[in-house]
Amino acid sequence: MKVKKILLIATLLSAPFLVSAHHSTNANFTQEIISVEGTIERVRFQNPHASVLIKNIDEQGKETFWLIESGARTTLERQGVSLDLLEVGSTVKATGRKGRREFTMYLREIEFEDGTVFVPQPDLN
Amino acid sequence: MFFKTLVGTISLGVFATAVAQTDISGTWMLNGPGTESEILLTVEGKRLQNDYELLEDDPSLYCTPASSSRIWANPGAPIKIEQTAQSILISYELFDLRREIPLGDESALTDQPSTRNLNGTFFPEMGSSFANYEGKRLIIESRNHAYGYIRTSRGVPQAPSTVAIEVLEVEGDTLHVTHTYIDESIFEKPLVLEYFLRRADEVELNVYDCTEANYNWFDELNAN
Repeated sequence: MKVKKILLIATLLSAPFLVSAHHSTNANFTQEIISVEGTIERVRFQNPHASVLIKNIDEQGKETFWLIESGARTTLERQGVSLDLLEVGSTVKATGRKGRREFTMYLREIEFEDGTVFVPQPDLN
Repeated sequence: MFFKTLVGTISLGVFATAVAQTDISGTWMLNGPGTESEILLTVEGKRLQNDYELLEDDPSLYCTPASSSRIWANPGAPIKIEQTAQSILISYELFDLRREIPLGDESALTDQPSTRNLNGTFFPEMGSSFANYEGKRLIIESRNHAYGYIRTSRGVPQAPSTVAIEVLEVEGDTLHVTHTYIDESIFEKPLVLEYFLRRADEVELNVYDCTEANYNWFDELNAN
């Protein structure tokens, strides 16, 4: 009975929290949406996070590598998502949430040169 | 005093005679946001929290569970529960964790962590547990935790002195998990978390095969 009372009190005092995929997406990425253009250097379809490495070259010729992270391989596979479309050497524009770690992003969509758009997790957009 | 009373009260429930297995067997997936009570840390709790650097210390980066609560609260990864006469086996797809919890009272506790991955690596962050039934509820008590984080986003800590009580109850097709953390060295009052999971028996657990998130190579790329 006392356990029930404690649980009831706890429920009344509790506040909702947003769950987040590991590593915590909401903690590791801001809400700021950014875009980066470049060529795909590497694609990793793995757990805990699939990722795409993009090389951006600015107008001064400076190279910057961006790590574009997405969901877990197992989660994406369960949703029928593959990263086969992302070929090394392709020129793309990646858009997503800016990471707290420098030059990282949580992928929202990738646009190819022909204008087609790849959205791995539409439910997050 | 309050903490001792609380632990004692909950423990009485844990020691209650097993009535019957419940309908918690099956596969479950997190269903929406959970809730948490107010987090009131002691001086020691705040010290542990302040020492935490999210981008470096999050155990998830190293394929290690930060705490049992963190493993429950992971969307997109199924959790399978199996019951036998002697134990409860909870298989978490995340990190390929297998948590085997003996049924019984405190005497069922061992020094060995209850959780390991498919490679056989034990994770003391998940504690050592025992479980029993109280009516239709399954109650799991865990102790002997390694230092870890109940909330990795904010570095809410756990410690070896932390006692965790998980109450699992099925309501329709929803598994309701209430997770109470008790540790007067860290918390001014018990921290209570709730999760809701939907039945997903059609979902198979896959091999997770976690790869550590090493960012050194990436940092070096941009340093050159």
